[in-house]
Amino acid sequence: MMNKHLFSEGVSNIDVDAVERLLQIEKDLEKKRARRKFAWIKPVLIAAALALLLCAVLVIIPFIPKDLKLDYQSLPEGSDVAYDRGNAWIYYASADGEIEQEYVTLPLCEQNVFLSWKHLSGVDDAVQMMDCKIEADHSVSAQPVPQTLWEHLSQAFSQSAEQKTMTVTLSAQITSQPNYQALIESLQKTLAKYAGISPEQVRILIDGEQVVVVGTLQFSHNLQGPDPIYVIAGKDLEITVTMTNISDKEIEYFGSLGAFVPDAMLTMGETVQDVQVIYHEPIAVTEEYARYVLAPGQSREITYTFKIPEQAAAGAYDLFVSFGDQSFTFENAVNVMYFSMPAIGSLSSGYLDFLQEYGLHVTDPAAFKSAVQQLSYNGVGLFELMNEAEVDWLPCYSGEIYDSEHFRFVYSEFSPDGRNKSQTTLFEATVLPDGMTLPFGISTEKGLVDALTKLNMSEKDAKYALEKRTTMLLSDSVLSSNFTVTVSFDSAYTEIAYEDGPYIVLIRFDENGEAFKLLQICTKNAPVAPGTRIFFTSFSNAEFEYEFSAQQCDQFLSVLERAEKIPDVANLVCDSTGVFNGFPFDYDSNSGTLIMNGVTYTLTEQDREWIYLALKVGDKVGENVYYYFDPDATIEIDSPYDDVDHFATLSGADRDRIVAILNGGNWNDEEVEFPFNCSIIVTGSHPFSPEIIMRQELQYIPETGIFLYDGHYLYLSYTDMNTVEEILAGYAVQLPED
Amino acid sequence: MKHSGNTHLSDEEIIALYEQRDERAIRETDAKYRRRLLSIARGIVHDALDAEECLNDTYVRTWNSIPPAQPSSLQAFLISIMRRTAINRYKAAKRQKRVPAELVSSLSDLDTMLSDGDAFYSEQQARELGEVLSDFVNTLSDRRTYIFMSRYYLCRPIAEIADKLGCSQSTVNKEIAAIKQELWQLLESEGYL
Repeated sequence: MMNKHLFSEGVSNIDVDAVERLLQIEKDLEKKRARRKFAWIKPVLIAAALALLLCAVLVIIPFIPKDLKLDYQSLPEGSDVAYDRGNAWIYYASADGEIEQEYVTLPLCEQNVFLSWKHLSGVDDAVQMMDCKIEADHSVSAQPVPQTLWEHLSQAFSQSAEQKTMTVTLSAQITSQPNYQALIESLQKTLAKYAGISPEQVRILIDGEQVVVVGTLQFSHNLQGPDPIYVIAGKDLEITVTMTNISDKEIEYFGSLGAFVPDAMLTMGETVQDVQVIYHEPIAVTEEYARYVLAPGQSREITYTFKIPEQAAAGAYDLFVSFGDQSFTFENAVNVMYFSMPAIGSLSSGYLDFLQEYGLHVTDPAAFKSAVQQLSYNGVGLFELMNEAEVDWLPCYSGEIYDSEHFRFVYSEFSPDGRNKSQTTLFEATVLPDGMTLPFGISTEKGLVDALTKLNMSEKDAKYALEKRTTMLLSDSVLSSNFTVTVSFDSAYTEIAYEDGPYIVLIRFDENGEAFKLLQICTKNAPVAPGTRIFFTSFSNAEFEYEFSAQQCDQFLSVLERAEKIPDVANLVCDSTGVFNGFPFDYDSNSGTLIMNGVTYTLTEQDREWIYLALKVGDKVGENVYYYFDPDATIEIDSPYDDVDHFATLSGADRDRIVAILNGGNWNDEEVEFPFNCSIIVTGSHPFSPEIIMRQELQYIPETGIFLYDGHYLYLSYTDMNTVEEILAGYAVQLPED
Repeated sequence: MKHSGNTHLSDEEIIALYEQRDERAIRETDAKYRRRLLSIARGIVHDALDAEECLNDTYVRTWNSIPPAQPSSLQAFLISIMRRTAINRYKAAKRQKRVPAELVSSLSDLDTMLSDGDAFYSEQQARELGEVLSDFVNTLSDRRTYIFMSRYYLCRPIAEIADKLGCSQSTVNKEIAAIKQELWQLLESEGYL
């Protein structure tokens, strides 16, 4: 049998002559069809004509103009303007707010159209057209136009040829009519029909104030705000608001506003905070453009950058978003806070650079560093960095030496502004021997607490072990038992193991029996079922899912067995995360370091290559095309619009933005070819062998948002496309002019 | 992209605009062939937004292809690009487990001779098969050419083909069965089955 894909490709390669033949046949068929149509249509036509005649009589009745017999005003004295009688459509609002229409005969001029509208709508006589004047003090005065001065009405009915708008001013009594909105809309329609323009071009003013009729818009049901986030005073904050299921009416509304990006501001109580907002989105100036970039049913993310001033008050801020006359408040969307020394009491040294980047006032850097190093010596990282602008605080466990002799393990929580923390001591012990570390991660939090609880029970064994100067040795029976402590004897150590859910916890006492350390939470005896899935996040942070065979799972476990276990998890930046056999792990492809359940492994070169290949060509579920671009790479660009090679080197900031975009997108695995465009050369380290410098040449097609690399392409989002275009423009890369 | 008026430039005039690198070429192409191309794309991808994107991709590829290409029939040239573009997009959509389209339906007619699943084949193989299929189409009558090309090249539903031919769907199905028989023999003799 032939494969469907090959057949489909074969059909795609059918000669264009065959397509031409198809078109010709189709043309002939259309002609035949038309002839067939006429054959049967003749008798039907006669019958239809008769029916049409009957219908026409019924339909045309409403189009027979009515003479309203109104007392139209006589022409002013001296006026030489004569109005011929003619017909006009008058739209009017019924008492229940419905808009109806009538075809009337009248002396044809704007004023009489207005009078007819008033009559049919039953509008109070008090409603009049007004003559507005701007006074010397810039105030606006509005006076009814005397009926004897018809010429003045031409001012009210002013039509600007340039803007093609008609402006009519009404007295304020119109607002007291019960069906006021419908009245305004019907007058707009009437005047638009009369003038041959669209209703939007008719502006109805009330005593100089514009009335906007946009219909009822419902944004509130489909506007999603950000989850509460934290930001440090003095830093930029990006907030993304998502509009989902955009309706056709909303797009029309964006067009009428001249923008589809809502206004946004941060507020605290009644106070509008002095934060500068920068839009990342382009402004749509016409409805046509709004329709070009938006379609009904779409979702759109709008990203704002807020400049949080250093003096901004700490605390919770609301995000206020408004679209014209629609507005929404996301309460407590942002928490502004400060870093202070108490809040970083347990930070590991890996975050020192991060803190300095955020402008911590460290009066004595050496002492600070020493303190942080000492704390990290006994503790682990307490914070998970979400990105450069946000810090998500976690409840944290840390070990610290609080005097020269005692060690304690504490649970801490910080207040939202980071200025205060509550602290609970979970247990205390005498000081640990030099060189001892606590290699566990946040994910082992439950197992750790349980381990500490179980410690009370184990102390008897510890004392017993102390007396005997022995150590419990681990055996398979220990590992498979549930909360059962098995003791073996040796001259050096005492170890206790027990199972806690999927984890196996090992506790080791030192030879004095007074101190202990948690060695590892291992997975050695975890069952591996065939078809176990490994979920892996790729280097580009896109979520891909791979399915490992039983053999691959075994291989993966043997990789861990071969790996060198190292205890220090500080400073490790993981670019990939995954779940293996139910166990979460972090994997850093740069260093070949893998952390699983608190144990850190350093993989051999060969095993790193194995994992790379397993993920690249393994039995994956979902897309797997990805490329790695070194975050520290050098990027050069060249203009596509001349023949001369003159590469410009991107700055570090621009390089970071480009690399983030390249590594953040989903590369399409279709093989494609495009003509040569803007050349971008990325020179950086190989992900597995940093000593190898890779030179990756990409192409970018200006104004398309398409990157090409190695025959594959990456479609950028609109925002990313703008970012790239902006960067390219900054390096004098010649883009085509409009 | 909108076009005012009902008169369109001739294909030769539009091609001349492409050759002069005049952007009006795309506007004129859009005005003249938009509906036709969109209907082909919708037949394959079954999604209005995807079809619009296929249309834009087709214009870009046409712009990049002429010159040097000098199509004798601009419409046939556009259709062949559109089909390829739409099928590529369909494949991408399929990987994302999106809704099936008429492409699946048309290929299911040939289930007895085609297999599912991934397969490795070269572009050369696909080109050679294209030549075999082109020769096959040349041997068919006009009516069967219309049915074969409409069904498998443009992925049109049976109902639409029957409507164009002014016959019942069962008649079209019978003719497809006959075409399939001939195709089976040809592909078998060429060593594809």
